[in-house]
Amino acid sequence: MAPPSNPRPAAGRTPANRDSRLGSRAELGGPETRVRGPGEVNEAPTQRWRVAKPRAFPEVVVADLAAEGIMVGGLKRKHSDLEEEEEDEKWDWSPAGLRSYQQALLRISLDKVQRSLGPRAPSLRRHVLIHNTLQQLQAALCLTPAPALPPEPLFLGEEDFSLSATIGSILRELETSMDETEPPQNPAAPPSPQNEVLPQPDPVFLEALSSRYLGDSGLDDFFLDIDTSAVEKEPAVAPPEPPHNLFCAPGSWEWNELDHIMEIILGS
Amino acid sequence: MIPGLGALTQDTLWCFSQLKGTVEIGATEADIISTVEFNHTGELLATGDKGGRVVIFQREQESKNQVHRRGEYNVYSTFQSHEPEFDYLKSLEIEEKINKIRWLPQQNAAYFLLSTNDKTVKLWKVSERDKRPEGYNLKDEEGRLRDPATITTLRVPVLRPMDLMVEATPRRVFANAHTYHINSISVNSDYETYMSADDLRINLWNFEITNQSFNIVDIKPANMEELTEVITAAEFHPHHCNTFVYSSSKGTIRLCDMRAPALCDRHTKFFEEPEDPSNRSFFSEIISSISDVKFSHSGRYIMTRDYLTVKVWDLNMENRPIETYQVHDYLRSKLCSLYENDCIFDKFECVWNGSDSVIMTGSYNNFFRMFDRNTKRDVTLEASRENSKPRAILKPRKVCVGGKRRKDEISVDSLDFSKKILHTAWHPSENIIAVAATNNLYIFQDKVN
Repeated sequence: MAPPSNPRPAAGRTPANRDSRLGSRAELGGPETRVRGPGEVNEAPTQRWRVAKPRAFPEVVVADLAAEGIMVGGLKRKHSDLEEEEEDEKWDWSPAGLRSYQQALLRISLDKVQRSLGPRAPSLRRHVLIHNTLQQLQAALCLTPAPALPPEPLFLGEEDFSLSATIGSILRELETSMDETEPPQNPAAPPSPQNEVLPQPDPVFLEALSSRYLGDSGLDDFFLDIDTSAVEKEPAVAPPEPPHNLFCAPGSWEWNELDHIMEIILGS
Repeated sequence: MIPGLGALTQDTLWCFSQLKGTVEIGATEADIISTVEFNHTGELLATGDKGGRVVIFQREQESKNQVHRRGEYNVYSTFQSHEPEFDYLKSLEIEEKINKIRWLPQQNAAYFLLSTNDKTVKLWKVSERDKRPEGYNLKDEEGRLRDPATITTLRVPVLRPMDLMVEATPRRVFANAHTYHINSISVNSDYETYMSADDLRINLWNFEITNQSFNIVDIKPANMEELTEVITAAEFHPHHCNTFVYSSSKGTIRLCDMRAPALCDRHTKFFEEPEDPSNRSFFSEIISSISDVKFSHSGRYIMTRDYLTVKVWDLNMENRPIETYQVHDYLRSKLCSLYENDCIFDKFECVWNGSDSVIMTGSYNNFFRMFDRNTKRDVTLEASRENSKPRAILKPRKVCVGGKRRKDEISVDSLDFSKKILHTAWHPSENIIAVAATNNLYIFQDKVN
């Protein structure tokens, strides 16, 4: 029999090494246990669980966009509206509102990609679904696809699936989205001034981001040749205000995005 | 089996039977139940958890004195199936969480089951020992060897009774065959082979051979950057040992025949429902991803679960399901939030009852839903401590989606999304269901009149 990769053989001859409460002989709800009164509260899920955040959640997207004074038609609709005719399902979104919604989704998706890295191998299904959603967002934001660059040659043993390849393409999408030069052509006052043009983002940001992503999986050695000195500063003070020509305006989505990236890089 | 048994008529009332698990707040993540499965007779009920343990419950023999308490399930065996491992080559941990358990049909006094984590499948033998041999010639009572020269008489060892001991031993370990995470295992109807499916590949094993397997499906693209679809579940046909199905993250099901080419990349049938354009959103693909696929006991239908619905498909009709049931359509307007907090990636399972007339699946807030395919009735029930008095009848629950909330209804915003019922099981011939609510196992039975 081929030995398993773990040199220790599996336990089995005796009952569990570590007691399972499920396997204890105590029976709940039986005559000998205490009947719980109506005033007793159910046990709360513990914070140690790595499950989704509990309880009711506000519509986060709506809150952010509301702060910017953008009307996001539809997300705040009462549920009774859902019972109306199919025609009502076509949101009457202002282009600015739709755009902010899409950008928020983009940001959420990138957050997810970052958070999915850890000591455990990430779920490929989740990754593929997020990646496909990102591609849809990209298409919706009417961006030109990035030129086909060869993926980072990161081989993890015999498995040539590299997380970096997928991340790389997502980063290229981000790079492309940040390349985008024109804010929405909406005569009704878009959030960012129309006459400012987005410059090329600093490529060091993106490569540093890449190394940050992959550094979590203990593969820093592969990126020693990337010069991240420009961003690896001591976070003694709050991130300095970047030079004016890198951003349209504070408070714009682009500002918030790069601010967020700075937090990621410096905040650890 | 009595015809009609298991049907969800208006006379069917579900009662609480048992609750297994911890009461106090000291529940750890390792206690979270990750799979539940009855064996083929319903005598045994197995659970696997995140800590890699398997707990098997056995149904008591029914006693004539306590007719109103139909056989209860009590702990029969507990063992550590999988341990956490570390892949040094990739610097990645391998979780010990049990993803699936599948029973083999019983062929002798022992019970056999397959359990799997992300990487390794194991065949476990669970057997009873209630006798012990005594009176060896070459060993003394403490087990020390005796010098043969000192033996002058011979005796025949006899079996003496001892306290019943149930032991679980790993008989086979099927390792190193999956690069990606195993999501499904399925025992073939020939009882000689089984398959294991990960995100991109499906392998066929012979139970006797652990150091090799046949790869029968491979959807890995040459360039991983082109990957847009993964395998999410797979199952053998219950009667035709050459047929199996697998589902994908794009909401499609492929039926394959192993009598055709060795590599079943070409499907025999392809099941997909055209998308409803009025419901299109950025999340359309994610919510169409199939999280579970199950053949009916008859083998004529397959059932699939995606994020918001359960669908029944006729094997003879590929272009759309014959039945679609809404599990919790009120979440459709919440998809963005559910995407942000990851709930949209939850993988719910679905099960058939013994007669294929009722299907069941879980939801949030510890709700689970049953749909009667004949009467078209459905019911929402809750697995909660409040309903845990013996033989307490479960009251149907209702989610209020708008307008005035009635007294017993719960509003969508009050739902607890950390309490999710992902795993349920239905006894093969009786109305007994097992519902896993995080770290607790609820057993419900229909009311015995």
